[in-house]
Amino acid sequence: MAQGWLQIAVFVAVVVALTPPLGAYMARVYGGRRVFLSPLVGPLERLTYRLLRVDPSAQQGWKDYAKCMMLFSLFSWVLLYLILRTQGIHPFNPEGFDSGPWDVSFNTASSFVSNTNWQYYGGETTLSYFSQMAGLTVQNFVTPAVGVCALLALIRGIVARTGTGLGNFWQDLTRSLYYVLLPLSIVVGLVLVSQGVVQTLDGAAVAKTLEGAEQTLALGPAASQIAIKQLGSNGGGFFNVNSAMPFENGTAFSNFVELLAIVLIPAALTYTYGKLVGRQREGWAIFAAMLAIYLALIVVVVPAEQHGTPAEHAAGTPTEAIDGSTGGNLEGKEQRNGIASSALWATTTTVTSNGSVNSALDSYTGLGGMVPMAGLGTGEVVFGGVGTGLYTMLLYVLLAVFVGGLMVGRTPEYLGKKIQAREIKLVSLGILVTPLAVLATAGLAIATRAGTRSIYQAGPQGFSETLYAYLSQANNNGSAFAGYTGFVQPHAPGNVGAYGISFADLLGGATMTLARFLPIVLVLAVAGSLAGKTISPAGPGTLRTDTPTFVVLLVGVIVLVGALTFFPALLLGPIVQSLTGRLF
Amino acid sequence: MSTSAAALAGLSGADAFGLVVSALVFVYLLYALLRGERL
Repeated sequence: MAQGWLQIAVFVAVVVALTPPLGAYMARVYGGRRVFLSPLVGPLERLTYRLLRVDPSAQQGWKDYAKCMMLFSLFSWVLLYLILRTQGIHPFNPEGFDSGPWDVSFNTASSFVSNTNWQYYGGETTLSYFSQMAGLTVQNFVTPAVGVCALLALIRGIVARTGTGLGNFWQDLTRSLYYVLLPLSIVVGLVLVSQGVVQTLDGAAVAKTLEGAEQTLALGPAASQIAIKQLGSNGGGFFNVNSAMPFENGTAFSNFVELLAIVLIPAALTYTYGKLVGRQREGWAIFAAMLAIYLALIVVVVPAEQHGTPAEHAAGTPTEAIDGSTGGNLEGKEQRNGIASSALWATTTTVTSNGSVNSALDSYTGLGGMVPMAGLGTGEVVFGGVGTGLYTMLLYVLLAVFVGGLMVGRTPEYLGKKIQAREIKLVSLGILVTPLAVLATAGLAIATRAGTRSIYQAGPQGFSETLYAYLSQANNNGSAFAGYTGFVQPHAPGNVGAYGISFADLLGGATMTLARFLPIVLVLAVAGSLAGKTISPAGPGTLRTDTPTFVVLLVGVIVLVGALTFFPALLLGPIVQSLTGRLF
Repeated sequence: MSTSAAALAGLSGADAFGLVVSALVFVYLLYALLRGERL
């Protein structure tokens, strides 16, 4: 167990150490200053603007910025849907897969354009290499860039001194892709290839097992997709079992690198934020609040999984560590990863908006399985998704400033901008849209016959599957309590006879789209509202937002909003399950 | 939602009633929140 805690400590230390250098680099990129990649990427950037006929220096108000973002995302959605629906006629399809059913394609297109990567389809048994590369991986790049765009607009709204300009969407998008996501993906992709993650356009390999049976080993251009899957808070696996698959995550080192890639950019963006607002302590205060929640969740899930389930104890299954195994609740976990690495991943992937997994969350203990749900329930603000995590956190900061101001009778203002009724209304809506979407859709899915068709397990576990499915989709996470499905796939060559469960596909797709873009529009509206305000100097009545006291207040607001929203639902699923000795 | 639509979706009468009431309350709260704002 000590080794497990040491792994976690080293991981956290590396994240903290890499935050300032990457954060400072991104601050230079988004501040329009020269970086070491400028000689290489600068000409490409300028060529892109010329081809798009965009003037990158043209400042946009929040409505123009939002319009460009929505149009771009709509175009992405249509393109991806068409690629999936016409898969059969495209090249790079060595297994000869059919095109996707309309409802599953609707869900998948919504999933990847909303940066969710919820997967009803099975990667290696459903999608051609063309669909994976030209369809999904392209979205894996552009959607985190869109998230960063919304964040940058909000930051500019906070610091704006004159006018209402929030920057230029096309410039922010291009810079995110060329200076941050693409270079990092190349580095991570090469590291993964060195660790045995496959990268080939060849079809599946057929191997003979020791018993003489034939086994088909799915291959494909995986490493290039896995790199951006982790760096861009995407999480959709090339293979169905995601990062538990040796061809997707083969060694302890690849496991560490992938895990690091999940939090690297979101964590560093807090430092970038400090730089861009000119107050580094503000960035560190937000980082501290994120880290506090992260560590609190880790110290719940790791002992819970090590302890095992009541059912395992009742059955006399040994759960203590033995030589060569960490012991604990190993159902659904890779022996090579053990408890700490699996539990750390489960926490990391759900506090960010990543959603990739290296173990089956469905098999976690009741309490352990509640931790991923808690990560989702806090709105994924603990480092969070690329861009989305920090802009949601900034909404919470504005709410905490307002609450704190009311509590101590001080003027609610943030970095010199007065926070008034309009901002608080927009902030409240921005924070509450997602939980509302979760509870409404999970309620519908559990109360209707059509919804219960997707459930695999009985009892509280079945409820947890449903709640988790909509928690994950509404939060644009993409991980799953894997029993829940919207796709039925017979064992037929070329995917013949596969069909979707339309209710789950359509409800999920609509939820992902709504819960992605409505908060983004509200964030941009907050940015536009703040940009129009003058900055007043801090006085004795100003609530400081860079102190440990404020960090505690911020954590308290996040936990309270999440707990008040989701506690009744959690009672019906993981909590009741962890109180019984029955195995669900 | 009409009774037949509720039956079609497999909702019980009580669930359907609760759903309609909560939707109405939600729409009213949203209206009250945004009333007077120029968005």
